[in-house]
Amino acid sequence: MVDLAKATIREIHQHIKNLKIKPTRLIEESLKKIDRLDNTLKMFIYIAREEALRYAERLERELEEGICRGLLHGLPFGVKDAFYTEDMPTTGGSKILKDFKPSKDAVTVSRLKDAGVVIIGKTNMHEFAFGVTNKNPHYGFTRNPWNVERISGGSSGGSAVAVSVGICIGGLGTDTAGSIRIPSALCGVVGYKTTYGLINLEGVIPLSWSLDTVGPIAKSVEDVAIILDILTDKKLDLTNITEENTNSEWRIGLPRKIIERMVSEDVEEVFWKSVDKITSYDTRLIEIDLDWFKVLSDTRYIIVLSESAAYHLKWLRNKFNDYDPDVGGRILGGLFIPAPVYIRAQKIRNTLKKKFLHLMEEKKLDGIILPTVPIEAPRVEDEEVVIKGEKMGVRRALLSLTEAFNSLGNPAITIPCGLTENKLPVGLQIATKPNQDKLLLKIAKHFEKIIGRLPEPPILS
Amino acid sequence: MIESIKRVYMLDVQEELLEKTYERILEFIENSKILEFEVEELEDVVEEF
Repeated sequence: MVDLAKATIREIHQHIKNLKIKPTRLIEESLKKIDRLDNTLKMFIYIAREEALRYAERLERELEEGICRGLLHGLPFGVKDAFYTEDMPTTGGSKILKDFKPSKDAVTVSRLKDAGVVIIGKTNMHEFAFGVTNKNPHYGFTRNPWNVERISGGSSGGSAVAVSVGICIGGLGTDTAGSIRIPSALCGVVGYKTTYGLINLEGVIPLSWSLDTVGPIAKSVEDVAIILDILTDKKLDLTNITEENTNSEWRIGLPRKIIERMVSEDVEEVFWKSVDKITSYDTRLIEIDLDWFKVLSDTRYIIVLSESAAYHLKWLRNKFNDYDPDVGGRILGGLFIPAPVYIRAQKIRNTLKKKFLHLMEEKKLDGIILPTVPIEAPRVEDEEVVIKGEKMGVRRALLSLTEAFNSLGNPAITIPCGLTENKLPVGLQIATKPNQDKLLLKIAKHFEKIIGRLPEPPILS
Repeated sequence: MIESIKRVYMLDVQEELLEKTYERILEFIENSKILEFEVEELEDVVEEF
Protein backbone atom coordinates (compact mmCIF):
# COMPACT_ATOMS: atom_id res chain seq x y z
CA MET A 1 0.00 0.00 0.00
CA VAL A 2 1.30 3.45 -0.91
CA ASP A 3 2.19 5.72 2.03
CA LEU A 4 0.32 9.02 1.69
CA ALA A 5 2.72 10.64 4.16
CA LYS A 6 5.56 10.17 1.66
CA ALA A 7 4.13 9.74 -1.86
CA THR A 8 3.36 12.60 -4.23
CA ILE A 9 0.17 13.06 -6.22
CA ARG A 10 1.88 11.86 -9.41
CA GLU A 11 3.27 8.77 -7.70
CA ILE A 12 -0.10 7.74 -6.27
CA HIS A 13 -1.83 8.52 -9.55
CA GLN A 14 0.38 5.96 -11.30
CA HIS A 15 -1.08 3.27 -9.02
CA ILE A 16 -4.67 4.54 -9.04
CA LYS A 17 -5.12 4.97 -12.79
CA ASN A 18 -4.29 1.29 -13.41
CA LEU A 19 -6.33 0.18 -10.39
CA LYS A 20 -3.21 -1.28 -8.81
CA ILE A 21 -4.55 0.60 -5.80
CA LYS A 22 -8.32 0.96 -5.69
CA PRO A 23 -9.74 4.32 -4.55
CA THR A 24 -11.95 2.53 -1.97
CA ARG A 25 -8.86 0.87 -0.46
CA LEU A 26 -7.04 4.20 -0.30
CA ILE A 27 -9.99 5.84 1.46
CA GLU A 28 -10.36 2.92 3.88
CA GLU A 29 -6.68 3.29 4.83
CA SER A 30 -7.15 7.01 5.48
CA LEU A 31 -10.23 6.35 7.61
CA LYS A 32 -8.28 3.80 9.66
CA LYS A 33 -5.56 6.38 10.22
CA ILE A 34 -8.16 8.90 11.36
CA ASP A 35 -9.46 6.33 13.87
CA ARG A 36 -5.93 5.83 15.15
CA LEU A 37 -4.85 9.46 15.40
CA ASP A 38 -7.79 11.83 15.61
CA ASN A 39 -8.53 11.35 19.31
CA THR A 40 -5.09 12.81 19.98
CA LEU A 41 -4.68 15.29 17.14
CA LYS A 42 -8.30 16.60 16.78
CA MET A 43 -7.96 17.19 13.05
CA PHE A 44 -11.61 16.70 12.05
CA ILE A 45 -14.90 18.28 12.99
CA TYR A 46 -16.82 15.89 10.73
CA ILE A 47 -15.57 12.56 9.38
CA ALA A 48 -17.32 11.76 6.10
CA ARG A 49 -17.01 7.99 6.40
CA GLU A 50 -20.03 6.93 4.33
CA GLU A 51 -19.98 9.85 1.89
CA ALA A 52 -16.28 9.31 1.11
CA LEU A 53 -16.60 5.56 0.57
CA ARG A 54 -19.69 6.04 -1.62
CA TYR A 55 -17.88 8.59 -3.81
CA ALA A 56 -14.76 6.40 -3.96
CA GLU A 57 -16.89 3.46 -5.19
CA ARG A 58 -18.27 5.66 -7.98
CA LEU A 59 -14.76 6.80 -8.96
CA GLU A 60 -13.59 3.20 -8.91
CA ARG A 61 -16.38 2.17 -11.31
CA GLU A 62 -15.35 5.00 -13.62
CA LEU A 63 -11.77 3.69 -13.69
CA GLU A 64 -13.05 0.20 -14.46
CA GLU A 65 -14.87 1.75 -17.41
CA GLY A 66 -11.69 3.48 -18.54
CA ILE A 67 -12.63 6.96 -17.30
CA CYS A 68 -10.01 8.90 -15.38
CA ARG A 69 -10.73 12.51 -14.42
CA GLY A 70 -7.08 13.44 -13.94
CA LEU A 71 -4.26 13.42 -11.43
CA LEU A 72 -6.54 13.83 -8.40
CA HIS A 73 -8.93 10.99 -9.31
CA GLY A 74 -9.76 8.99 -6.18
CA LEU A 75 -7.40 10.81 -3.80
CA PRO A 76 -8.44 11.71 -0.22
CA PHE A 77 -8.74 15.36 0.71
CA GLY A 78 -9.55 17.39 3.82
CA VAL A 79 -11.65 20.54 3.57
CA LYS A 80 -11.57 23.21 6.25
CA ASP A 81 -14.99 23.51 7.85
CA ALA A 82 -15.35 27.06 6.54
CA PHE A 83 -16.25 25.75 3.05
CA TYR A 84 -19.88 24.93 2.20
CA THR A 85 -20.48 21.24 1.54
CA GLU A 86 -23.95 20.19 0.43
CA ASP A 87 -23.80 16.68 1.88
CA MET A 88 -21.97 17.47 5.14
CA PRO A 89 -22.39 19.96 8.00
CA THR A 90 -20.49 23.27 7.82
CA THR A 91 -19.87 24.73 11.27
CA GLY A 92 -17.13 27.29 10.68
CA GLY A 93 -15.63 25.75 13.81
CA SER A 94 -18.44 27.34 15.81
CA LYS A 95 -21.25 26.32 18.12
CA ILE A 96 -23.43 28.95 16.41
CA LEU A 97 -23.43 27.02 13.09
CA LYS A 98 -23.33 23.50 14.54
CA ASP A 99 -26.52 22.47 12.71
CA PHE A 100 -25.88 24.36 9.45
CA LYS A 101 -26.18 22.24 6.30
CA PRO A 102 -25.60 24.31 3.16
CA SER A 103 -27.78 23.68 0.12
CA LYS A 104 -24.79 23.64 -2.23
CA ASP A 105 -21.03 23.20 -2.34
CA ALA A 106 -18.56 26.07 -2.35
CA VAL A 107 -17.28 26.67 -5.90
CA THR A 108 -13.86 25.35 -4.87
CA VAL A 109 -15.31 22.20 -3.30
CA SER A 110 -17.37 21.58 -6.41
CA ARG A 111 -14.26 21.91 -8.61
CA LEU A 112 -12.33 19.46 -6.46
CA LYS A 113 -15.15 16.92 -6.56
CA ASP A 114 -15.42 17.27 -10.34
CA ALA A 115 -11.68 16.57 -10.53
CA GLY A 116 -12.24 13.28 -8.70
CA VAL A 117 -11.16 14.31 -5.21
CA VAL A 118 -12.74 12.34 -2.35
CA ILE A 119 -13.57 14.60 0.59
CA ILE A 120 -12.84 12.52 3.64
CA GLY A 121 -13.98 15.07 6.19
CA LYS A 122 -14.33 18.65 7.34
CA THR A 123 -11.20 19.74 9.14
CA ASN A 124 -10.92 21.51 12.47
CA MET A 125 -10.24 25.23 12.54
CA HIS A 126 -10.04 28.23 14.83
CA GLU A 127 -13.60 29.43 15.41
CA PHE A 128 -14.80 31.41 12.35
CA ALA A 129 -11.15 31.46 11.18
CA PHE A 130 -10.60 34.32 13.64
CA GLY A 131 -7.43 33.10 15.31
CA VAL A 132 -4.19 31.29 14.57
CA THR A 133 -3.79 28.70 17.33
CA ASN A 134 -6.62 26.21 16.45
CA LYS A 135 -7.45 26.00 20.16
CA ASN A 136 -11.12 25.37 19.49
CA PRO A 137 -13.25 25.04 22.67
CA HIS A 138 -16.12 23.38 20.78
CA TYR A 139 -14.31 20.70 18.72
CA GLY A 140 -10.98 20.28 20.52
CA PHE A 141 -7.50 21.78 20.34
CA THR A 142 -5.68 20.60 17.19
CA ARG A 143 -2.29 19.17 18.20
CA ASN A 144 0.99 19.24 16.35
CA PRO A 145 2.08 15.84 14.95
CA TRP A 146 5.73 16.75 15.64
CA ASN A 147 5.00 17.13 19.34
CA VAL A 148 1.46 16.73 20.66
CA GLU A 149 2.18 19.09 23.54
CA ARG A 150 2.41 21.86 20.94
CA ILE A 151 -0.29 23.63 18.92
CA SER A 152 -0.81 22.98 15.22
CA GLY A 153 -1.27 26.65 14.45
CA GLY A 154 -4.34 27.86 12.59
CA SER A 155 -6.84 28.72 11.53
CA SER A 156 -6.56 25.94 8.91
CA GLY A 157 -4.80 23.67 11.44
CA GLY A 158 -6.86 20.53 10.84
CA SER A 159 -6.05 20.50 7.12
CA ALA A 160 -2.32 21.03 7.75
CA VAL A 161 -2.13 18.19 10.29
CA ALA A 162 -4.18 15.78 8.15
CA VAL A 163 -1.73 16.36 5.27
CA SER A 164 1.30 16.11 7.54
CA VAL A 165 0.34 12.65 8.83
CA GLY A 166 -0.69 11.38 5.39
CA ILE A 167 -4.44 11.05 5.92
CA CYS A 168 -5.06 13.41 3.03
CA ILE A 169 -3.03 14.10 -0.08
CA GLY A 170 -4.17 17.72 0.09
CA GLY A 171 -6.15 20.11 2.21
CA LEU A 172 -8.16 23.22 1.55
CA GLY A 173 -7.67 26.26 3.77
CA THR A 174 -8.41 29.96 4.00
CA ASP A 175 -5.83 32.67 4.63
CA THR A 176 -6.80 36.15 5.84
CA ALA A 177 -3.68 36.91 7.87
CA GLY A 178 -1.65 33.71 7.66
CA SER A 179 -4.18 30.93 8.33
CA ILE A 180 -2.81 28.60 5.65
CA ARG A 181 0.87 29.46 5.99
CA ILE A 182 1.12 29.43 9.80
CA PRO A 183 -0.16 25.87 10.46
CA SER A 184 1.63 24.60 7.34
CA ALA A 185 4.92 26.01 8.63
CA LEU A 186 4.43 24.68 12.17
CA CYS A 187 3.45 21.21 10.90
CA GLY A 188 6.15 20.90 8.22
CA VAL A 189 4.07 21.00 5.03
CA VAL A 190 3.67 23.36 2.05
CA GLY A 191 0.92 26.00 2.28
CA TYR A 192 -0.08 28.46 -0.41
CA LYS A 193 -1.78 31.84 -0.06
CA THR A 194 -3.00 32.90 -3.48
CA THR A 195 -3.04 36.38 -5.00
CA TYR A 196 -6.15 38.11 -3.65
CA GLY A 197 -9.04 37.40 -6.04
CA LEU A 198 -7.40 34.49 -7.85
CA ILE A 199 -9.80 31.87 -6.47
CA ASN A 200 -13.58 32.16 -6.24
CA LEU A 201 -14.73 32.66 -2.62
CA GLU A 202 -18.41 31.78 -3.19
CA GLY A 203 -19.54 29.38 -0.49
CA VAL A 204 -16.76 30.18 1.95
CA ILE A 205 -17.75 31.61 5.35
CA PRO A 206 -16.15 35.07 5.24
CA LEU A 207 -13.90 36.58 7.85
CA SER A 208 -12.85 39.76 6.07
CA TRP A 209 -13.97 40.31 2.47
CA SER A 210 -11.11 42.52 1.35
CA LEU A 211 -8.43 40.20 2.75
CA ASP A 212 -9.82 36.63 2.51
CA THR A 213 -8.14 34.15 0.17
CA VAL A 214 -8.34 30.38 -0.20
CA GLY A 215 -5.59 27.98 -1.15
CA PRO A 216 -4.16 24.48 -0.95
CA ILE A 217 -2.00 22.69 1.60
CA ALA A 218 0.06 19.69 0.45
CA LYS A 219 3.37 17.96 1.03
CA SER A 220 5.26 19.38 -1.94
CA VAL A 221 5.26 22.46 -4.16
CA GLU A 222 4.38 20.29 -7.15
CA ASP A 223 1.31 18.88 -5.35
CA VAL A 224 0.23 22.41 -4.40
CA ALA A 225 0.54 23.47 -8.05
CA ILE A 226 -1.55 20.52 -9.25
CA ILE A 227 -4.34 21.34 -6.77
CA LEU A 228 -4.16 25.07 -7.47
CA ASP A 229 -4.62 24.42 -11.17
CA ILE A 230 -8.03 22.89 -10.40
CA LEU A 231 -9.07 25.73 -8.08
CA THR A 232 -8.23 28.78 -10.18
CA ASP A 233 -10.55 30.68 -12.49
CA LYS A 234 -7.63 31.65 -14.69
CA LYS A 235 -5.87 29.10 -16.86
CA LEU A 236 -2.40 29.32 -15.36
CA ASP A 237 -1.30 25.85 -16.47
CA LEU A 238 0.56 25.50 -13.20
CA THR A 239 1.31 21.81 -13.57
CA ASN A 240 3.85 22.84 -16.21
CA ILE A 241 6.26 23.97 -13.51
CA THR A 242 7.09 20.34 -13.01
CA GLU A 243 8.37 19.89 -16.54
CA GLU A 244 10.15 23.19 -16.98
CA ASN A 245 13.75 23.73 -15.97
CA THR A 246 13.42 25.67 -12.72
CA ASN A 247 17.09 26.58 -12.37
CA SER A 248 17.23 30.32 -12.81
CA GLU A 249 19.20 33.20 -11.50
CA TRP A 250 16.55 34.49 -9.14
CA ARG A 251 16.97 37.92 -7.56
CA ILE A 252 15.47 37.62 -4.09
CA GLY A 253 14.89 40.40 -1.57
CA LEU A 254 15.92 39.75 2.02
CA PRO A 255 14.49 42.01 4.78
CA ARG A 256 17.41 41.36 7.15
CA LYS A 257 16.50 44.02 9.74
CA ILE A 258 13.02 42.56 10.22
CA ILE A 259 14.39 39.05 10.55
CA GLU A 260 17.07 40.04 13.04
CA ARG A 261 14.58 42.05 15.12
CA MET A 262 11.44 39.90 14.96
CA VAL A 263 12.56 36.26 14.69
CA SER A 264 13.59 33.99 17.59
CA GLU A 265 17.16 32.65 17.68
CA ASP A 266 16.19 29.00 17.11
CA VAL A 267 14.10 29.78 14.02
CA GLU A 268 16.70 32.24 12.72
CA GLU A 269 19.40 29.57 12.87
CA VAL A 270 17.39 27.16 10.70
CA PHE A 271 16.38 29.96 8.33
CA TRP A 272 19.95 31.19 7.72
CA LYS A 273 21.15 27.64 7.09
CA SER A 274 18.56 27.25 4.35
CA VAL A 275 19.48 30.68 2.95
CA ASP A 276 23.11 29.50 2.75
CA LYS A 277 21.99 26.47 0.77
CA ILE A 278 19.93 28.57 -1.63
CA THR A 279 22.69 31.08 -2.26
CA SER A 280 25.28 28.36 -2.79
CA TYR A 281 23.50 27.80 -6.14
CA ASP A 282 22.53 30.60 -8.47
CA THR A 283 20.13 32.72 -6.39
CA ARG A 284 21.25 36.25 -5.61
CA LEU A 285 20.10 37.93 -2.40
CA ILE A 286 19.49 41.66 -2.31
CA GLU A 287 18.99 43.27 1.08
CA ILE A 288 15.82 45.35 1.35
CA ASP A 289 14.26 47.57 3.97
CA LEU A 290 10.56 47.09 4.72
CA ASP A 291 10.30 49.81 7.37
CA TRP A 292 6.51 50.00 6.85
CA PHE A 293 5.90 46.36 7.81
CA LYS A 294 4.34 47.31 11.17
CA VAL A 295 1.89 49.69 9.50
CA LEU A 296 0.53 46.84 7.38
CA SER A 297 -0.05 44.88 10.55
CA ASP A 298 -2.08 47.74 12.04
CA THR A 299 -4.17 48.15 8.86
CA ARG A 300 -4.83 44.41 8.69
CA TYR A 301 -6.11 44.38 12.27
CA ILE A 302 -8.44 47.35 11.76
CA ILE A 303 -9.84 45.89 8.53
CA VAL A 304 -10.45 42.38 9.90
CA LEU A 305 -12.20 43.70 13.00
CA SER A 306 -14.44 46.08 11.03
CA GLU A 307 -15.39 43.63 8.29
CA SER A 308 -15.92 40.67 10.63
CA ALA A 309 -18.16 42.75 12.90
CA ALA A 310 -20.29 43.68 9.88
CA TYR A 311 -20.72 40.00 8.95
CA HIS A 312 -21.28 38.79 12.52
CA LEU A 313 -23.68 41.51 13.65
CA LYS A 314 -26.73 39.24 13.74
CA TRP A 315 -24.95 36.73 16.01
CA LEU A 316 -23.37 39.43 18.19
CA ARG A 317 -26.98 40.45 18.88
CA ASN A 318 -28.53 37.14 19.78
CA LYS A 319 -25.83 34.46 20.16
CA PHE A 320 -22.94 36.29 21.79
CA ASN A 321 -22.61 33.73 24.57
CA ASP A 322 -22.13 30.93 22.03
CA TYR A 323 -18.80 32.35 20.82
CA ASP A 324 -15.42 31.36 22.20
CA PRO A 325 -15.10 34.40 24.55
CA ASP A 326 -11.76 35.37 22.98
CA VAL A 327 -13.16 35.30 19.41
CA GLY A 328 -16.47 36.96 20.30
CA GLY A 329 -14.68 39.67 22.27
CA ARG A 330 -12.42 40.54 19.33
CA ILE A 331 -15.27 40.61 16.80
CA LEU A 332 -17.22 42.85 19.17
CA GLY A 333 -14.32 45.30 19.02
CA GLY A 334 -15.09 45.90 15.34
CA LEU A 335 -18.26 47.78 16.34
CA PHE A 336 -16.11 50.49 17.93
CA ILE A 337 -13.87 51.27 14.98
CA PRO A 338 -14.79 54.64 13.48
CA ALA A 339 -15.40 54.68 9.72
CA PRO A 340 -12.55 57.18 9.03
CA VAL A 341 -10.09 54.79 10.68
CA TYR A 342 -11.29 51.86 8.54
CA ILE A 343 -11.14 53.99 5.38
CA ARG A 344 -7.66 55.26 6.20
CA ALA A 345 -6.55 51.65 6.77
CA GLN A 346 -7.78 50.71 3.28
CA LYS A 347 -6.09 53.76 1.75
CA ILE A 348 -2.82 53.00 3.54
CA ARG A 349 -2.93 49.53 2.02
CA ASN A 350 -3.12 51.06 -1.46
CA THR A 351 -0.24 53.41 -0.75
CA LEU A 352 1.94 50.56 0.56
CA LYS A 353 1.01 48.27 -2.33
CA LYS A 354 2.45 50.92 -4.66
CA LYS A 355 5.55 51.27 -2.49
CA PHE A 356 6.07 47.51 -2.50
CA LEU A 357 5.70 47.26 -6.29
CA HIS A 358 8.09 50.18 -6.72
CA LEU A 359 10.64 48.45 -4.49
CA MET A 360 10.33 45.17 -6.40
CA GLU A 361 10.81 46.95 -9.72
CA GLU A 362 13.58 49.27 -8.58
CA LYS A 363 15.63 46.37 -7.21
CA LYS A 364 14.56 44.09 -10.06
CA LEU A 365 13.38 41.45 -7.61
CA ASP A 366 11.67 38.19 -8.51
CA GLY A 367 10.54 37.62 -4.94
CA ILE A 368 11.35 38.14 -1.29
CA ILE A 369 12.08 35.61 1.47
CA LEU A 370 11.76 35.54 5.22
CA PRO A 371 10.70 32.96 7.81
CA THR A 372 6.96 32.18 7.82
CA VAL A 373 6.57 32.18 11.60
CA PRO A 374 9.14 33.75 13.96
CA ILE A 375 8.83 31.06 16.65
CA GLU A 376 8.62 27.26 16.76
CA ALA A 377 5.17 25.80 17.57
CA PRO A 378 4.23 27.09 21.05
CA ARG A 379 3.08 24.76 23.84
CA VAL A 380 -0.69 24.39 24.10
CA GLU A 381 -0.79 26.24 27.44
CA ASP A 382 1.43 29.14 26.30
CA GLU A 383 -0.29 32.53 26.22
CA GLU A 384 2.89 34.57 25.75
CA VAL A 385 6.30 34.06 24.16
CA VAL A 386 9.56 35.97 24.37
CA ILE A 387 11.38 36.94 21.18
CA LYS A 388 14.79 38.60 21.54
CA GLY A 389 13.87 39.71 25.07
CA GLU A 390 10.49 41.12 24.10
CA LYS A 391 7.40 39.49 25.60
CA MET A 392 4.34 39.27 23.37
CA GLY A 393 1.10 37.33 22.98
CA VAL A 394 1.25 34.06 21.03
CA ARG A 395 -1.26 35.31 18.45
CA ARG A 396 0.68 38.51 17.78
CA ALA A 397 3.93 36.55 17.36
CA LEU A 398 2.44 33.91 15.03
CA LEU A 399 0.91 36.52 12.72
CA SER A 400 3.78 38.95 12.60
CA LEU A 401 5.47 37.80 9.37
CA THR A 402 2.47 36.63 7.34
CA GLU A 403 -0.25 39.27 7.70
CA ALA A 404 1.51 41.93 5.64
CA PHE A 405 1.06 39.86 2.47
CA ASN A 406 -2.70 39.74 2.99
CA SER A 407 -2.76 43.51 3.25
CA LEU A 408 -0.68 43.78 0.07
CA GLY A 409 -2.64 41.09 -1.81
CA ASN A 410 0.51 39.19 -2.85
CA PRO A 411 0.77 35.46 -3.31
CA ALA A 412 2.98 33.84 -0.65
CA ILE A 413 4.04 30.28 0.02
CA THR A 414 5.62 28.46 2.93
CA ILE A 415 7.91 25.48 2.39
CA PRO A 416 9.57 23.44 5.16
CA CYS A 417 13.22 24.43 5.56
CA GLY A 418 14.43 22.39 8.55
CA LEU A 419 13.92 21.49 12.19
CA THR A 420 14.84 23.39 15.35
CA GLU A 421 16.83 21.77 18.16
CA ASN A 422 13.47 20.71 19.64
CA LYS A 423 12.76 18.85 16.37
CA LEU A 424 10.00 21.23 15.35
CA PRO A 425 9.53 22.39 11.74
CA VAL A 426 10.46 25.84 10.45
CA GLY A 427 8.86 27.36 7.36
CA LEU A 428 10.55 29.48 4.69
CA GLN A 429 8.16 32.07 3.27
CA ILE A 430 8.49 33.35 -0.28
CA ALA A 431 6.35 36.12 -1.79
CA THR A 432 6.19 37.68 -5.25
CA LYS A 433 4.24 40.55 -6.77
CA PRO A 434 0.45 40.04 -7.13
CA ASN A 435 -0.57 37.77 -10.04
CA GLN A 436 2.85 36.17 -10.25
CA ASP A 437 1.62 32.89 -8.81
CA LYS A 438 3.32 30.80 -11.47
CA LEU A 439 6.68 32.50 -10.91
CA LEU A 440 6.29 32.00 -7.16
CA LEU A 441 5.69 28.27 -7.59
CA LYS A 442 8.76 27.97 -9.82
CA ILE A 443 10.96 29.71 -7.25
CA ALA A 444 9.50 27.61 -4.43
CA LYS A 445 10.05 24.39 -6.34
CA HIS A 446 13.64 25.36 -7.01
CA PHE A 447 14.30 26.17 -3.34
CA GLU A 448 12.48 23.01 -2.17
CA LYS A 449 14.75 20.91 -4.35
CA ILE A 450 17.88 22.55 -2.88
CA ILE A 451 16.72 22.48 0.76
CA GLY A 452 15.26 18.97 0.68
CA ARG A 453 12.21 17.57 2.39
CA LEU A 454 11.58 16.80 6.08
CA PRO A 455 11.31 13.29 7.52
CA GLU A 456 7.93 12.00 8.69
CA PRO A 457 6.53 13.51 11.90
CA PRO A 458 7.42 11.40 14.95
CA ILE A 459 3.80 10.46 15.67
CA LEU A 460 3.95 8.12 12.65
CA SER A 461 7.01 6.17 13.77
CA MET B 1 -21.98 56.25 24.75
CA ILE B 2 -21.88 52.58 25.74
CA GLU B 3 -25.63 52.56 26.39
CA SER B 4 -26.22 54.09 22.95
CA ILE B 5 -24.00 51.52 21.26
CA LYS B 6 -25.91 48.78 23.05
CA ARG B 7 -29.25 50.24 21.96
CA VAL B 8 -28.31 50.96 18.34
CA TYR B 9 -26.79 47.54 17.70
CA MET B 10 -29.41 45.80 19.89
CA LEU B 11 -26.72 43.97 21.85
CA ASP B 12 -27.33 41.72 24.80
CA VAL B 13 -23.81 42.12 26.17
CA GLN B 14 -22.71 43.33 29.62
CA GLU B 15 -21.89 47.04 29.64
CA GLU B 16 -18.64 46.38 31.49
CA LEU B 17 -17.41 44.19 28.63
CA LEU B 18 -18.43 46.84 26.08
CA GLU B 19 -16.62 49.50 28.09
CA LYS B 20 -13.42 47.44 28.20
CA THR B 21 -13.64 46.59 24.50
CA TYR B 22 -14.12 50.25 23.61
CA GLU B 23 -11.09 51.25 25.66
CA ARG B 24 -9.01 48.49 24.06
CA ILE B 25 -9.89 49.63 20.53
CA LEU B 26 -9.19 53.29 21.27
CA GLU B 27 -5.83 52.32 22.79
CA PHE B 28 -4.99 50.31 19.69
CA ILE B 29 -5.87 53.17 17.36
CA GLU B 30 -3.84 55.58 19.49
CA ASN B 31 -0.77 53.33 19.44
CA SER B 32 -1.08 52.44 15.76
CA LYS B 33 0.25 54.39 12.80
CA ILE B 34 -3.18 54.58 11.14
CA LEU B 35 -3.94 58.22 11.93
CA GLU B 36 -0.49 59.67 11.36
CA PHE B 37 0.52 57.72 8.24
CA GLU B 38 0.66 59.89 5.15
CA VAL B 39 -1.81 58.55 2.62
CA GLU B 40 -1.01 59.93 -0.83
CA GLU B 41 -4.51 59.72 -2.25
CA LEU B 42 -6.13 61.40 0.75
CA GLU B 43 -3.56 64.20 0.75
CA ASP B 44 -4.23 64.80 -2.96
CA VAL B 45 -7.94 65.22 -2.32
CA VAL B 46 -7.32 67.64 0.55
CA GLU B 47 -4.92 69.66 -1.63
CA GLU B 48 -7.56 69.97 -4.38
CA PHE B 49 -9.97 71.56 -1.94
